[in-house]
Amino acid sequence: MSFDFFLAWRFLKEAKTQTLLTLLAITIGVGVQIFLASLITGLQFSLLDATVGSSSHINITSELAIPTSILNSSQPTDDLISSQVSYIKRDRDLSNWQPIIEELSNYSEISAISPLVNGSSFLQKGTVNRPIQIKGIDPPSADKIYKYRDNIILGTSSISGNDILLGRELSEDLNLTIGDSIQITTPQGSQAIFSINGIFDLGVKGLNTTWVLMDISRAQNLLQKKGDISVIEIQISDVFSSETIAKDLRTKWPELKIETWQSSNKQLLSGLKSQSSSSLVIQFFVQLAVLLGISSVLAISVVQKSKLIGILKAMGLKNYRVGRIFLLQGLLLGLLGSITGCLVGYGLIRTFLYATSISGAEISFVITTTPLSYLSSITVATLASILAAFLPARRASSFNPIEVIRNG
Amino acid sequence: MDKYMVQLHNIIKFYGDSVKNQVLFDVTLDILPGTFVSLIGPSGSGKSTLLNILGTLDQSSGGDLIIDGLSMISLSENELADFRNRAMGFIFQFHYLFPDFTAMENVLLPYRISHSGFPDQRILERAKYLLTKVGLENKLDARINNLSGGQQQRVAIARALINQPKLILADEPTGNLDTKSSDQIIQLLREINKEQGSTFIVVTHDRSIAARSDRIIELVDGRINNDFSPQELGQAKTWEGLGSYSCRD
Repeated sequence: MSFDFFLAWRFLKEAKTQTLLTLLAITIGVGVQIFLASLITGLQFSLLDATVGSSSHINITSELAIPTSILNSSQPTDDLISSQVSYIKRDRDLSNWQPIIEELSNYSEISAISPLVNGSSFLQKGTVNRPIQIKGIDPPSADKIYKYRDNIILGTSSISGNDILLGRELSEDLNLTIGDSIQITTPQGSQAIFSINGIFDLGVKGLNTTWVLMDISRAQNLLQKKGDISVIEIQISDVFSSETIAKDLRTKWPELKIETWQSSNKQLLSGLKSQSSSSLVIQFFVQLAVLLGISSVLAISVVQKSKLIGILKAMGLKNYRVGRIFLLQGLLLGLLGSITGCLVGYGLIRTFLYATSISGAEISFVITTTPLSYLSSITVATLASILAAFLPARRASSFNPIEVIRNG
Repeated sequence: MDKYMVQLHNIIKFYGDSVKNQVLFDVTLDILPGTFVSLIGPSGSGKSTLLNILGTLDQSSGGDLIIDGLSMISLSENELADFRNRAMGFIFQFHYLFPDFTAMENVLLPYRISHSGFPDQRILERAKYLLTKVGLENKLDARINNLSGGQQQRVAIARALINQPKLILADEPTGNLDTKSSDQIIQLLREINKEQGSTFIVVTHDRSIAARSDRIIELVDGRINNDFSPQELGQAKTWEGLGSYSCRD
């Protein structure tokens, strides 16, 4: 053990009450910070999961650009003609989509790739008509995104041949059940009879009312797509990295239209951002109050120990080492206080979960903490405590021994 | 080895920035190794300032200070700190011991400043020897707060000796002690001086310390007013003379 560390430890040990109160302040600060951060993170995670957990994060479609104007002369002169061509862009089907899917499967960040045939149609049962959205899917890959297999409330999830799945609200509306036959008519006029094999509940009324799931090749036939698909849907493990991945994909396939979930969920994102920043502001001020506490306690300690610092310097302790003794005190306080703070934070989370469970209130989100989040809290609090010790340390190192001894 | 332990050449010292107040005027002095020197003089004569300059705790405004052949003027702040730790021992009027440390821990402080890790057996034995030497063999593990004023000052003396310094500087080492304790301390300092051959420079108002020195230097108004040896002058004359040399019993 170095002498500087030994002295730092002894200084803290001797000022027991002061040290314990400071540790208590750091403990409370870090504990509250961990609890608050976990709560907000859990809440946001659940909100995000509800929003984008069972939907595509990146959509790849194709566009058709149709020129609308041929030539416009803005300032016609004899020798200068400026021309400008503008286009109307329309979605069109993806033809050569298999190589794209193959290429996408090389991305480790991508967790699911699902080709989809999409199209509006009408469902007929007797004389009743309902507008529907046909979703022609490849079952194993689509299930990774929609998780529909776990949400079958009646029948099975199989969609081979003419078997289809539809949502709860639609089946209730038309009084349909397993085994019933229905007719689907496309805007182009093609018709086919299908058999209901299962009823799903995806938890969103809009989807349950309009979606009809069928096999991808069946949908291609019905919608006359000739092997083409409408969209490649992609899910990624870290939802927030979708823009980065999309940027990469845009470079690779500049002719394709690549959209992320963020572009269609701007309001949610801004809400989450405001929540995060208000949580950060609260955490920042809690930490700041704690750090000011550490700084003032150490500043008092410097004054209390001024004579001893003076004599140590007279005996040959160098200025920078005197400073280091106080920085080490900051480090010890920060480290010990944040470790106990982590325990308190964990305790607060457990107590919160227990209290809500016995009160009968159901928490609709999961509070998750990882060892890494505790470790980062300890690191941040310890570094901040060292920073808080900086001014007292500088003051102690600048003491003139003779002034201290003479005036002592 | 250099002939002199301490050499002062034309040391001057000013205080203040706008209004300069000169407290030392061309102090020139040579001190042989192993000498026990008493620095006497009325209050404000510059004795403590001179002692602080000698201890490199304060800087002179001019002149040169050579200790053990090394010019202190040329050394950096860190080099001076190392030199103080290695070659000097300090005893102050107030002991400035660490109140929550034991006597042993306090004595070991100067050693631990320059040596990392726990002290080895050899240095622990030396600390015990020194505390035994100052009569505290039964108080090795006693906390400073539980010792008397005289005992505390003796711990401070043992602390000043742990690194076997060649030069020991003492500022009124008996200033806070009763006559009996003072007498024991003086005797102790003198014994150590003879046994270890360390050079002592002691600022004092105490006639009994001055009378037992090898050399007495009197400062008046920042200048050396008198510099003599009690042995050459004779005990009786010295004692009598010291009454007028700003000393008390």
